Amino acid sequence: MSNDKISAEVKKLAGELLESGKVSAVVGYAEGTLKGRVQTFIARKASETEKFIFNQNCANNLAVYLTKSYNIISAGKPVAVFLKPCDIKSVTALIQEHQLKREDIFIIGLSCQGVLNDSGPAGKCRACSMHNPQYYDALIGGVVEEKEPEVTDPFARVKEIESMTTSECWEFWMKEFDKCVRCYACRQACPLCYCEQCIVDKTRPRWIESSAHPIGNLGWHLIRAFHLAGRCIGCGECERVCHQNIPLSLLNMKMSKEIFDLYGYTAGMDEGAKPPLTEFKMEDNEEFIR
Amino acid sequence: MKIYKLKTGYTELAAALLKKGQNVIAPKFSGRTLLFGKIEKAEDAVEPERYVNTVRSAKEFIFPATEPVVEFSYKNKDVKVFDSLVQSDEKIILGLRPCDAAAFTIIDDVFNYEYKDEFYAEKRKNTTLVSFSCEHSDEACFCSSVGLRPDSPQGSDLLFKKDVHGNYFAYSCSEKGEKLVALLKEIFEETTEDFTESPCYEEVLGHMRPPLDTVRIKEWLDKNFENPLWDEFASRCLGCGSCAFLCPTCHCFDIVDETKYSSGLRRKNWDACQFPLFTLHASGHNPRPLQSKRYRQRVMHKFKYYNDRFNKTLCTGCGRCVRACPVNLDIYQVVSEITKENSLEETLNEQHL
Repeated sequence: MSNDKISAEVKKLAGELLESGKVSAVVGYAEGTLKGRVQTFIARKASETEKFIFNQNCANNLAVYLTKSYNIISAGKPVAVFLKPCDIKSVTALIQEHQLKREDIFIIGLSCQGVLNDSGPAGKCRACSMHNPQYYDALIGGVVEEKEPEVTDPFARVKEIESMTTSECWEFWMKEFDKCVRCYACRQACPLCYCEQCIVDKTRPRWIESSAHPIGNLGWHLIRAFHLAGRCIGCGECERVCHQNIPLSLLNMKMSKEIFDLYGYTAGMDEGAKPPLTEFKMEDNEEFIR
Repeated sequence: MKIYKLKTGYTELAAALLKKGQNVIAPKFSGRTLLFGKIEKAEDAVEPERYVNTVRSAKEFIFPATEPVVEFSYKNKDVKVFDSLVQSDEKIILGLRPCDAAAFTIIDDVFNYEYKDEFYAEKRKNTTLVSFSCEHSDEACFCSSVGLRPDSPQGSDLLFKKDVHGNYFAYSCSEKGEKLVALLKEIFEETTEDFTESPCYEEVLGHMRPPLDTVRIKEWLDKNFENPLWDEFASRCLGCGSCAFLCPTCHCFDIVDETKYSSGLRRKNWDACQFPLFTLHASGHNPRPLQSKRYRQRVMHKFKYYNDRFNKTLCTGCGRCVRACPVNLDIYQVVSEITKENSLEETLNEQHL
């Protein structure tokens, strides 16, 4: 289906949802001011829904707006939100963690052929094998054919890092972290970074230095990766929004790989599943305890 | 203002500076990110024709992302406090864009207002700014909206322009600029050829976003501290610090103590008004509890408060915040809306009369 046709469908659906009073707001995408960029847009009136579009530039994971700090979900009426198949995984994770109720949202599921970033197809899309939404309230763009991903091993990049010697690995990351200015765009764009008070903002005691120096930056990125272990669904927003081009998804993918190897668990796939780090089983792998 | 013809290209200029033992900071790649950094080899300095601008501005060399201001140690009740060294090495920032050079002349005012920030002043004094006029702009550039041009001399000690044959001409705008030319006298020769009205820069100007009416914007801001538009603008802001940290004029900082065992440092770190923590009081009260209030602060500070106090707009139109915003919350678009809103209000007022 062409972009124009899909955009026309989302405008129509968003308009109907607001007009009928079925939802209180629609969170979606609108035309951006730069080539290849779109804006996120929250419509509260049917008259505003003309702005909605959907195309391959719609990279943002809008599930972030469903977290509590945005206060977008008011009691009684659901909020409609545009979600690509990978974005729906974050909704699943938020539901699993009791941050969101399924009935509070109306999912406008969008089948997806991959999104673009500034230099071409986004890295995550090259390893993606989920082009249709797992669940939804309305489907836009029809069902697309599931195809074999171009990159068959989602952990290929992680394995490259793992093959480095300890000192090479240290050098690689310290060079990357050196660019960090602590703008926290990675945290703010992440739907799973919803803590009311982030550990890095705690000052009594100060657990991690907030200064943009090597130790502070190392502390920040490692603690964020650990906090997302078994929770990150791999939407890649942290890496996309990093203007310094720090390959942040590598850290999260490494944790995903560890969790998969230890517990056979992949985040964001099953609402009913218990994330492994929140429960204990007698048969849990204990090899890492020495 | 004297004009000198550069007898060589950019790389040779960088090489000549290095040969003279100068500390040269210039745009270079760190992976695929173009950032200002210390140049060890002239070839590492990326030629100005190859970039529109760096990802981060050059402010970090005068106002670093983090810097110690006080050092302390204690043993039982014996507390020692030392001032951190204010001294800085002399350096040359090469390959700046005119918008970034102009930014320093804007924030000089606040760093020397009431209290003189020695850390800023010392580094500023020891830094020579060597700018290169823009041969290209991109869709995010809007310097012409805030009184600048692709070849503005504001803030530069030396400003380079190119003639149609690709020769560089340096306009020396200060004593520091003259000193630099004198240091490299073998590659410069004085000339009377003037490129002030070079058509090349007119063309770059023509590709930019249409100029904004900053007077109109301020008029509206003067009257609209409370306005539902703030909610509309900011409801999608993620509240990160990308805009502030990449901005060459954002200058807010936080003071933090970092202690290890019995000694530590007090640091001055970049801070951003989009963070809720920015205004959080020790009592737990936050006077800017919503993103709409925090976003309003950003726009007000840039287009009203700074103007009220220093008669300058706190923006050089470099476009970094526009390029980096994760949700494409575009300040140019926001203030354009404000201008439209202001015109609308005026029309309504006239009708009432």
